Amino acid sequence: MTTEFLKAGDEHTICALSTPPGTGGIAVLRVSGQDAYKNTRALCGFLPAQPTSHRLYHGYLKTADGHETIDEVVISYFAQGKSYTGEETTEISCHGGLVITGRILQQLSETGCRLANRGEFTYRAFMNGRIDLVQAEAVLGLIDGQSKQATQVAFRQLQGELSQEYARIEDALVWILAHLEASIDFSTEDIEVVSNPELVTRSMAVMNIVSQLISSYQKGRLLREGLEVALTGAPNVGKSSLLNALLREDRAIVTPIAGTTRDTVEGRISIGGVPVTFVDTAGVRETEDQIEKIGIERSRMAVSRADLAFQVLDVTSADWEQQTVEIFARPGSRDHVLLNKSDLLLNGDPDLSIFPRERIFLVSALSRRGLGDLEGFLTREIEKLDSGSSLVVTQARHLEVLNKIHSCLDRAIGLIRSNSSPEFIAFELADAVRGIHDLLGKEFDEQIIDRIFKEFCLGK
Amino acid sequence: MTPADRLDFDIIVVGAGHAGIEAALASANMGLRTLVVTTDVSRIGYMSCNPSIGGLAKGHMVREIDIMGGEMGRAADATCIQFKRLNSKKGPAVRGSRAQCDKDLYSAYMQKSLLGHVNITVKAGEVSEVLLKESRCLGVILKDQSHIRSSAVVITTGTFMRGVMHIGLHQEAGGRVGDQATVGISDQLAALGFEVRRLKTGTPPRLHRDSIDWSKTAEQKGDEKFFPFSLRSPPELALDQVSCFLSYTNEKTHEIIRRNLHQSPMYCGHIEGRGPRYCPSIEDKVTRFAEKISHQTFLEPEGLSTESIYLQGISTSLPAQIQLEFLQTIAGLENVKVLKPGYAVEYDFIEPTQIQHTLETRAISGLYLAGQINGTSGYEEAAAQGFMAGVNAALKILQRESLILSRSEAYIGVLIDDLVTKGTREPYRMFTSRAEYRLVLREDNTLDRLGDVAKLVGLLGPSELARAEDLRLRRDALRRHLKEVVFVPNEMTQNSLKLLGTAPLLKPTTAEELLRRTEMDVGAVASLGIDLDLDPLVTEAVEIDVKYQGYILRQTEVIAQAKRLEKLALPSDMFYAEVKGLSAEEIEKLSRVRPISLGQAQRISGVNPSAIQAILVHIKGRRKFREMIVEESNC
Repeated sequence: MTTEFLKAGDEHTICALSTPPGTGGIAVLRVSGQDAYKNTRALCGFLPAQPTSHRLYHGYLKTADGHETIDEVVISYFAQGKSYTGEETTEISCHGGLVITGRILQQLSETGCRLANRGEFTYRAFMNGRIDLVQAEAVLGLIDGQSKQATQVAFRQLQGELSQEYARIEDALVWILAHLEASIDFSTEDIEVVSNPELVTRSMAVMNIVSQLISSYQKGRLLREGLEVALTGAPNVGKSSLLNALLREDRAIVTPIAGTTRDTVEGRISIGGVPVTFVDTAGVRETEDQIEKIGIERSRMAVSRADLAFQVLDVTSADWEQQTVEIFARPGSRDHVLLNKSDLLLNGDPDLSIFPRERIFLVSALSRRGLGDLEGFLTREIEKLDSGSSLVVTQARHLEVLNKIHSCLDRAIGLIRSNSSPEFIAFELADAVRGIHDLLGKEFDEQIIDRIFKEFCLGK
Repeated sequence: MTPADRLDFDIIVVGAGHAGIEAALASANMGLRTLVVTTDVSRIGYMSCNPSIGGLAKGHMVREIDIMGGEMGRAADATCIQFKRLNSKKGPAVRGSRAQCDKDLYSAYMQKSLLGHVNITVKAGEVSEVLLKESRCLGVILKDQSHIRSSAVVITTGTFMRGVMHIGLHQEAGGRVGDQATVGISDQLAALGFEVRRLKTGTPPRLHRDSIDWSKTAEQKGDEKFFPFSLRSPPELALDQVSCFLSYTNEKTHEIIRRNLHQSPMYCGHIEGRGPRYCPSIEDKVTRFAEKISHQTFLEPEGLSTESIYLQGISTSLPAQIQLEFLQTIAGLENVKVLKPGYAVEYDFIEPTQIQHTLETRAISGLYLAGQINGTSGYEEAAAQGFMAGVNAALKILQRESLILSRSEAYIGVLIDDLVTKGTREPYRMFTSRAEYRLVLREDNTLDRLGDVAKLVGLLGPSELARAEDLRLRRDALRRHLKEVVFVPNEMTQNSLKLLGTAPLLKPTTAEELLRRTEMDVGAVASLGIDLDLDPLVTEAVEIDVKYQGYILRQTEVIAQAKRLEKLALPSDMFYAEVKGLSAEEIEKLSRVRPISLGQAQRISGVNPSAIQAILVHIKGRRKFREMIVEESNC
């Protein structure tokens, strides 16, 4: 994001609408930069010459030429160093709607303000050292978050919890590096060198933390993008009917003809604030129909991409039990089974106690039977995603760097195990530390040498 | 400018220690008339502390100086009485050569080099002031008030500026036992506004050889194989080799030291200067690492004909009587006679962020500082700076471009960049871990790294240059050769490989790929029936480059990335207060260090990455502004 602003390369005071555009009771415009107050005051004559930070001022905002009153507003003033961006900032609370906010922005630009680029306030906060890079990204996560959980994660990141975790990783790496460097630079002195097994243990410990963060990314993605559930099964078991029932609308075309759904159909509901996308796939069967073939291929892709897959079976068919056993017996199977058409059961419910609970549901698209249980299950699945005490990585940038750190550590452990010279191990670990510094937007400094002197008794 | 004929000398070097020698010889070898002023001509090139040259990261610098035409390497080779390649069991980048030298012979060698040089005049005397006109240095004023005029002055006064020696609670002015201290320059520089601070260093006692019971110590021999520092030295050792001996302190030793800490100048507040963390006194070791029940000490002969033994690892400033008492608890030293007790020295240094990469002070043009005066410790660190100061002073006089080595080129580059960028709070010593690009800064490839620079500077004579050039060409030829030769998996080759104890070939394989196998070296590859250059001076660097190519490539990539910031030059007149987004601390630090590039700015501690962004934005804006002005004036 930085390059875009570098091109801007100016010290302009910037302004933008900070609340969502469109109709609303009130709207807030933010002005930040060295002339923020001066420019605001050019429109708001009621403001005092010497404002107090964190105070509200009420009055009428006029056009720059003073001829016309635009709106009744409340101005908040934040002095330089005491605002979000670190710059002098004002916030103009006015009435909502595109016309008023548009006119005020127009007037602000008359006074010399420039319209802010996307994320530029946060960028300036970073530039002014108010937040680190990880926190800056968190702000974007907060704004873009699709769910309560996603914003929780972003908020914790903004509070610096992820940064602290990175700092702990860095600390552990620096400890190992310091010991390696000491064994190189002070090899003629009788210092105690850390044994290779201990180096491995310590490197493994760091690698495990990194691995956990890497796997949390999957969760982070779910929080950001929501849960995707695929409905699969043979033609005409009622997948589309189920989708419609779950969405409470007629989304998919339902006919008694097998193969009606030739392409994937999606629908989204919200469970506990998390978007859940159901993908109704074309029934998988052997067919000569070209269009249906493409649809089936798409189904396969939808299933492999989905977070959860439901195999829909017709409970009135003869072989549903056999099929269920087969589905669960597949190696690595994570599929769930929906036994549809339970409204057609004449001799009471089948005994499902032989199957794992929470993996098989008796439902009816028609009578809506069992759909409540299904939603309850999905709610529990989503609650599992609730970040709880573990940290979640949400940005692709972090995943990339963490993967790099992981391979550095992996190679370092290999080198230690094969008794390689410490400078190569140190090279890998230093590369890993550089990764952490990339994440935090920090530079390599003298910390390793300082650490050596803290830990060792040296004396030429 | 003053016409040259009104100058007494082109360059005056103040001091004739390890920095002064290299500065003077560099300048003289570049054809400039050079004056060396030293208080005691007999102490030229004196090794005030330990008796060796080189060591880890230091050996690298000795080779770097040597390749460019410096003297330290040749002197160490010629007077070596024990040679060791440290870390020889570790990887190639962290091996370091160390030569223990005969101190008297070393000093004599350097005296001869200076006194015998046609462009060098050596004068015994004391400089009390530098001669100034506004912010230009015009020469020096001696204690007898005589003025000597020159275009440049290099100050290399070591620990002598306001030097104070401490033995117990006794203090005495002086930078070294047996020499007087010099005061004048330090006061003058302080008065001119230079930030002058205090540092402390110490040295261990010297013992009488015949008073030691050697049977209670463990002998430590040098290496069989000698790798001279200098390409210009004969390949064989000139002198008889000696052993060092190892012994240990014990609880009794520590008990005596602890009981007498109140008599240690450092522990009762008599010393304000900061000492080196990597070279703590025995008082420090016993206090800070109380759990260690013994510390090792090497007993090192200071020469072939002297009876003086250097007690490595036991620097102390306790009273002489206490020193004797604790020494006698050490195995082998029960009846020891002390020739010279250990002592601590406190001295002034100039905070080095006030000098430029050329080692010229920023405030006074023509004034160069090198060695301990810049806050470093060690003969090699001093020599490296002396050399660079001498070269740069000469280049400036000759109106040629200055010589600045980068961090990816040489340890000398790391040394100077660290000093001028970060300054120092303790005596600065070089470590391999200070060099972030250490995998490409090796002893073996010094010539490959600095051959071009050496040619450019022009200190070497034509035959020396030709020899170096020949070596480089042969290395290049070997590299090409290894790439070009392909072995096919025929019976003869497979049999030979089996004999060499390495796996058979699966497909046609280049000699280079074969060499990459752990168990192979150039000799083994040649034995497969190809004609390769087997001179170790040629093969070593090439073999290492081939074997560690993966790492070297990764390092080279990092260097290339960093270069982008290194190449972004910052104007020397940059007004940092104008840059939006800098903290007061950052403005202060940047204005003081005046980085030459954005890369250097980034290395200043306390300057955050966001500041680098801000500066980038600022200079881009400025450039844009300039372009606009140019455009307008063109209209």
